[in-house]
Amino acid sequence: MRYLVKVFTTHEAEEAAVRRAMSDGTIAEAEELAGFVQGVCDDEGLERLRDAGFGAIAVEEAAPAAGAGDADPAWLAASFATPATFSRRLADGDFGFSPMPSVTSAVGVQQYFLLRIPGGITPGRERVLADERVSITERRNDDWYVAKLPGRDTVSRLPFVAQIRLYDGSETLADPLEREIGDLKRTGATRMPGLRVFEAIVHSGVSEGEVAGQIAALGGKVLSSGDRVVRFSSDQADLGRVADIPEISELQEASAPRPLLDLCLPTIGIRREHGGAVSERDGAGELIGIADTGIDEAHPDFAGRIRHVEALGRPGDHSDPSGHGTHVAGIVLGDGAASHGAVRGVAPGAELYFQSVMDVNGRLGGLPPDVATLLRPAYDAGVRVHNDSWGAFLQARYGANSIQLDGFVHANPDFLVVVAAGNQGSCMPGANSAAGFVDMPSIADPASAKNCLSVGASRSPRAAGGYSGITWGRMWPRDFPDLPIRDQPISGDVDALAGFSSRGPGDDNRVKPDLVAPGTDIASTKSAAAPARNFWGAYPGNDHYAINGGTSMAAPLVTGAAAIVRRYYVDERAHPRPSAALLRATIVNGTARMEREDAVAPPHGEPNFHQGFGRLDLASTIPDRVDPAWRLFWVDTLVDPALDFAATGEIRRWSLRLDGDGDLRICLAWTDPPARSVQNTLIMLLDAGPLRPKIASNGDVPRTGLAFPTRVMPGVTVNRDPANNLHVIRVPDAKAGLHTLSVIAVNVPKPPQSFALVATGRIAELSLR
Amino acid sequence: MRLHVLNAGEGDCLLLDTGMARLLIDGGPAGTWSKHAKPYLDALIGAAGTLDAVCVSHVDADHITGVLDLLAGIEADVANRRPAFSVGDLWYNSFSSTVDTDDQRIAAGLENLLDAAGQAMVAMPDASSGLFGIAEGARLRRSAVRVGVAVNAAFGGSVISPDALPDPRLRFGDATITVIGPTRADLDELRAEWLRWLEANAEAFAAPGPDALANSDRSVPNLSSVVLHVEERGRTLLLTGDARGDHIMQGLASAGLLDHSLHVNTLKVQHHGSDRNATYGFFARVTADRYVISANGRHGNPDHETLVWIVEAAEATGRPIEIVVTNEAAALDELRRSHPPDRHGYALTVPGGHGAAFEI
Repeated sequence: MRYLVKVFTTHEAEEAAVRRAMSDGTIAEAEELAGFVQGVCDDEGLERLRDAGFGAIAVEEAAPAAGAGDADPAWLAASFATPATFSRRLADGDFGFSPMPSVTSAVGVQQYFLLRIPGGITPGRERVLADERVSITERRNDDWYVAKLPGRDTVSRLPFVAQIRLYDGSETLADPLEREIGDLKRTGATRMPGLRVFEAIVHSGVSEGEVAGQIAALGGKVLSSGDRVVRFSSDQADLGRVADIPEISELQEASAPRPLLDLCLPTIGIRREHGGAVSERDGAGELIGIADTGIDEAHPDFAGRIRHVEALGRPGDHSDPSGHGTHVAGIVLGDGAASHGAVRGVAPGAELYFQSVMDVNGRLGGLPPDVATLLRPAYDAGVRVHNDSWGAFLQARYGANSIQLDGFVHANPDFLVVVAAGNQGSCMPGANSAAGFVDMPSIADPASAKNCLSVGASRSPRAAGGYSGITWGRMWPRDFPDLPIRDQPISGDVDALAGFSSRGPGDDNRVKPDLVAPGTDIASTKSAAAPARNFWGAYPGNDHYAINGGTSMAAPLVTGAAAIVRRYYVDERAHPRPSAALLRATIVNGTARMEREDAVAPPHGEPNFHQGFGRLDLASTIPDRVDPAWRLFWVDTLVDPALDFAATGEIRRWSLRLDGDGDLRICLAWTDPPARSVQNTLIMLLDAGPLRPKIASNGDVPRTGLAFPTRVMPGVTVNRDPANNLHVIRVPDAKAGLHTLSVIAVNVPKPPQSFALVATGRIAELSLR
Repeated sequence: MRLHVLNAGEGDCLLLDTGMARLLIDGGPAGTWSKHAKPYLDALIGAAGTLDAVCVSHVDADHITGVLDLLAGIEADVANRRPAFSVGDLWYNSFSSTVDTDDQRIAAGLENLLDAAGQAMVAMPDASSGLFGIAEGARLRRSAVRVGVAVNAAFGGSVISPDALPDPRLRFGDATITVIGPTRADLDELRAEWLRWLEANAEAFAAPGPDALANSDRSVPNLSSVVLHVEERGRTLLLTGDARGDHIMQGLASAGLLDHSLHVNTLKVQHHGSDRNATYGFFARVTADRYVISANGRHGNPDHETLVWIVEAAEATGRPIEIVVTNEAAALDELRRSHPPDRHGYALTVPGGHGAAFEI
């Protein structure tokens, strides 16, 4: 058996050893890059490399056998389960694949194809592709890439292209729409009954206007187009033919955003220590953006701190008869003026930039058709942390809001968007869960975006008031009909999750949500115009407040924390322009893993699809005076662009010195280019010296020793989360002494790639080598 | 027994007191509870008074909202350790369990329509009021759970419908209540109406311009109302919600209460006196000494036509009657002009204020 392997080299001694392996034939067909060598190796060679002490070897793929007769082992069978699409034998000349479905283009552009390229887009391969005039428009997932090909077949002759197939309807559509359109085509019908709104995401580089014209020509009524998305209503549209327009990358039913409705500062690590520095940090200096229903600007808890209010849904009217927006704002930055500080938000020193998006019908029609139009004015006004406690349920798909949010942050990398995960959590139908456990996936759009922090809900500690004493099964009998969750109280157990909290993964298998925060029975500011019936319950003794629940209430806890973390960098670390990636890395680095059965339900892993990386815990996120030996080190290439990755294979190395044994945590985050799947893949490796075991980021790696990032190999576990642009290393028992931390560009088809890094623990030094 | 007719604006809010038990029927639209119903009930039964049952006739906003406010108020009073009303049993039919039974298609369609209208900044108050009630039905149940109120316990947890109950009669204090509607057929018809309406709106949505959307804001007449016939020591009351006249008569006939005609002491006239839910024929066959209409002129209710039917049907058989309308409305002046009370043998009472009580 021969494998395509990556052998990581984080020390000069390892580079020398790997060169020996190349020259003695252990690694054949090798491409040598700064951070690793990629090549072909057999079982025996793999053993030799392990015995030589290489701490990290990634098996990417079974390489094509030199001779015939090699049977595929069972663990690889899945890769080749669809021989119909395994089509290296393309006809010469023009593309004339008779077995493939024919697709026509009304505007005559070249067609899109999917190429499988194991081992990533290395500089050598990139040169070859450029010579063949193949443009990779997007990384689809793992080894698959979307490419626009020239009008002749050169690709099938390239040795590193393992498979090629047409980008057809099976890529453009997902169930249930795929099934519905299939039915339409079978019955010969051209129109779906009823009012339906769809969104088409076009391929990168395609003009939305041209696609909108094609959709209109097929009978659709175009509602908006721009920023990669065309929204249209079905009307008389022949949806089957719309789905076949080659410039459309994805087509899905639109679902309108709605508020994700439906205090607990100690639970998230605030006021852990009386007089500790954490509690003195109040976000003063930050301007926080919130897009929500409306705001009761006369509420005493915001006095003097509302800098600007935009009325986007009802001209001239930003009032809050719903109560949702005012409640969210209070969680972020209410100062408790009306309660002598008893009900206080996370960042009571911050100022507010509020965008009222509730429309005349009480829904969120004030949200512009594209996300950038919402976020741009906030950014221009100075907002750097934005709370969005709304979303649309799209069967966990990466929708229009997600791609546009990712695009906006990619273009404005110091803008952090915090998004509520969604309230679609339910044990029903139970397709992927045991009875009495919450089903998945159900993450909302745009919480499925890569470059935001998406926040699920855990249970608050509240013991009285609201829904706290009532069980999940009593309150939502259809959603939680079975034990154990049925009989558990809605609040009280802070280590358990809220039943309604939407679960991951996203449709490209990325772990979502990123983290959770308490979201049941949260007390916050009540809009005077909102009736009590809109809340979970009254706040005793004070009508300025009310109790509510939902991931809408969890997200603003993270938003407030993000403001505090941002001020920490600006005011205490002389870093005036922290990137969104750095804030994401810092907050995720500090999260506390929850261990209750519902929070660690299958599929097992760290992170997982229920709680993401864990619950917000500000006390272990940034240092305070309580434990001066516990320090935070950071790297942010936004202010050091020389460290950005320009190509696959590059490596950045730091010396990391611990002055004592103890918990070491490192988190890497990057703002990835907008696209459904992660475009660029980085990993972290931590080791104690040359040819010593390496700990790789994510996955269950710290427990297994041998680390590798992607494929299954006997005796070694899988990385749980290869599509994530957040990576962690957590070593509870790190040893004092010198370590090497490496960040390696495993695959960077869309350079340049910036990143941010945070390390916390008994760290004395983190210095670039 | 006494019927307290509370001022519920364009909605309904009534309290039946049999002397042994109290039944609140509906809570009116937003504002009714705090402005009229709560002060009226505080004075009548005390801040810690008991409502043996609360009936939501159907989930339209002008009937359900005050009940949500009542339950939220109880929750707040309990949380604040203040005296609170106690409610024995909540009677209501959720939209999803009676009408929108196919994966909540109607609610989803209505949401889509309102989203489209909202983005176009077109107000559709009737449609949003309809969706409010549908969506808030689920919240109503949660609110009841939160304050420990049972749901439909008097009906064994069943849907309130003569077709779903083994026996449509139940004892309430010393009164006998008979469930007349909604029947399964009523609910099926309503479901079909909704789906037709949504389809028609899909067409309106496809037509260019916001006018089409605004014009399409027309609520579907709610045919799902709980209709109750109450009898105590020979005195009778018919509570109709927003039901349609022909459905009420079919239900009465099925219950054996309508032979050729039915006379009750008090009739709560259906759907705020709208002429869409009644005919002259209805008032000729279902007669009363007193007709109670809860309305304030909004949506054109009561219609002059309905009032004329009531007056002329009574006049035809020489019955003196009283018409009670909770608030003044244009149609009342029109009636006074077209059919002066002294010449047509009826009295017109407009209590105004928080409400008024009538001995049945």
